[in-house]
Amino acid sequence: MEWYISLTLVMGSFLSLVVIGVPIVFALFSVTIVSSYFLMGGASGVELLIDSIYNSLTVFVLLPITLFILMGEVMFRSGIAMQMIDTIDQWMGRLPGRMSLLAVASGAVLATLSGASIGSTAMLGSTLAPSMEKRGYRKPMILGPILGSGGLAIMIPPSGLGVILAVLANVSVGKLLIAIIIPGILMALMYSAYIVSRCTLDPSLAPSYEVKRTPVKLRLLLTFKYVVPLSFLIFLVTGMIFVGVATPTEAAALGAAGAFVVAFCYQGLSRKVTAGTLENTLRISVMVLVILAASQSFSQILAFTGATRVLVAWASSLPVPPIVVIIAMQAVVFVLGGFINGVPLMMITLPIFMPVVTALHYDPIWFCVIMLINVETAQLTPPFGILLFVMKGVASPDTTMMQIIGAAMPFIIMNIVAMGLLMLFPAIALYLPSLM
Amino acid sequence: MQLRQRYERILDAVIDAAAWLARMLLLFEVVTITAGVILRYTAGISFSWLNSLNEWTLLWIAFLGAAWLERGNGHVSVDTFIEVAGEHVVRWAKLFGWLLGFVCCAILLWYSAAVTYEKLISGAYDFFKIRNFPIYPIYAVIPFGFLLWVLQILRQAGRRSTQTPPDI
Repeated sequence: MEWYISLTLVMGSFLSLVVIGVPIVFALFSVTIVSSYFLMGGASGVELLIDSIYNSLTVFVLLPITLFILMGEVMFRSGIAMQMIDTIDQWMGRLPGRMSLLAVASGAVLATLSGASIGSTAMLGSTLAPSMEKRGYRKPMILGPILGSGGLAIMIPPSGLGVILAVLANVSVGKLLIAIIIPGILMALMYSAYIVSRCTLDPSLAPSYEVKRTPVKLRLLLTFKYVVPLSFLIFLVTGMIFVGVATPTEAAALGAAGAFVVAFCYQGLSRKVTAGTLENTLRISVMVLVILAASQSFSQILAFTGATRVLVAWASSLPVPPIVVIIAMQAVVFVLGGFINGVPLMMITLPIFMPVVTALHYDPIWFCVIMLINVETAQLTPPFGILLFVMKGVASPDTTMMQIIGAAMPFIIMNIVAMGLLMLFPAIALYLPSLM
Repeated sequence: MQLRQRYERILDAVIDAAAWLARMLLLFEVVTITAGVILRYTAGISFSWLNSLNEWTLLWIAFLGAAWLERGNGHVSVDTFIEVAGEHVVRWAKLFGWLLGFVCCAILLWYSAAVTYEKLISGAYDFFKIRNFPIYPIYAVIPFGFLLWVLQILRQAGRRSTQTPPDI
């Protein structure tokens, strides 16, 4: 069978099943079962699928996924994250778009404690959006900053999707987690600059209001109480990986253990909190792991069709600069991202893209960082970006989907600009990993 | 009717027990990996077999929790397209999803049981993990997970649940 017919059948049947609402895990399993049977030698092909399920999941570098989820859940459910947002609020002064900036600052700090953008967005949306509305902020300055900064959870370690991306792309998890730090901070700064400039040009977007003055001494006390101890967790995760004391898996376990210790010290670790934390961690972990169970065989099948080999040869021989091929690949992810998010988006594209990236002699870590920004952007991209729906769920009832999409647009554009900057200046992503 | 209720109660108890074990495995990961790092830097002791155990926990967590997640309609799907087509189509699509899920899980139950049995007979072990430790007990969770999953799908399809799975 010609490679393009096999590829169309495999991808076409998978996407058709996804579109008609079949759970992604069953869409993947059915495609891999049928493909294994017909392409890999009948029943023995399906037996190989069982071995590939085992091989897909029993990988040490996958462990941070469950551990990062657990760490984030402890921080959210114990109420520590909320106290931290309140403390950051004390330091915001009278800047234009004060509460929108608070959303970005809180999103960036929350991102250092949790790798889940849905949790961050839901928390920021449910806590900050009502106060912003009460103070007369207009929708673009309420919804946009929360959507943008909620997505930062993916771009600042610990990042659950970052780990999955590294595993699927077969690159170093530790290097990728370190590589996303500067781009993540850059994006937070871009969001802040946008908010300040827009609110300065049009103050009606975020009317200034009387801020209750808190003595500096009290602010410092609150900071030492609620923010400084959290830097201990940041050190346990990012610091340990960076200095090479622990692998990403070990750092994730230390971070999760540290989160339990911190929550216990803040008296936020009740029986109910622990039970809820474990339940939600299990729910998200199983959801991701069963999809990843089919990942290796799905990649093998794509390779078996011969499509990867032909596409690599084709992309390498194109009479265009190699960067155009990279831009085209990111454009494909961007368009697909409007319809499919997260893990499935990476599973469909990475097995084909990574061999091309290697053949074009680009640094895979650099490509993965750009890809991760694109995956984050996919969560904001209409019509089906997941964060748009999360925002709809937590925003006030009079908020329309069009208002949410409109508010997300500047942040989508800023993410594209960030991707462009990374393409122009790869050192933004590659400087820190080069020090490891 | 009583028989069905008893069957459902037993199935729920088994699914809950499996999910409880999966939760304990999550804590096991945290405790053992953290202890491993601390012992390495304080006492100079390293247990490489702990890494293998932790790698196996991921497989166990996935298959111990799969039926539990199915029971809570937690397996992720993209419903946005199909919902445009109206309630009638959504219902048929959901039934099709269950049928496909049932067929997939039944096939994988059969083959995973066969592969696990083959590992038992051959005394196979994973060369890259704990050497000379038989691999069949680790593989056994795959057919067990698919069995619970099949039974849960059957029950759900039987009830024709009106809940929709979460959208991504």
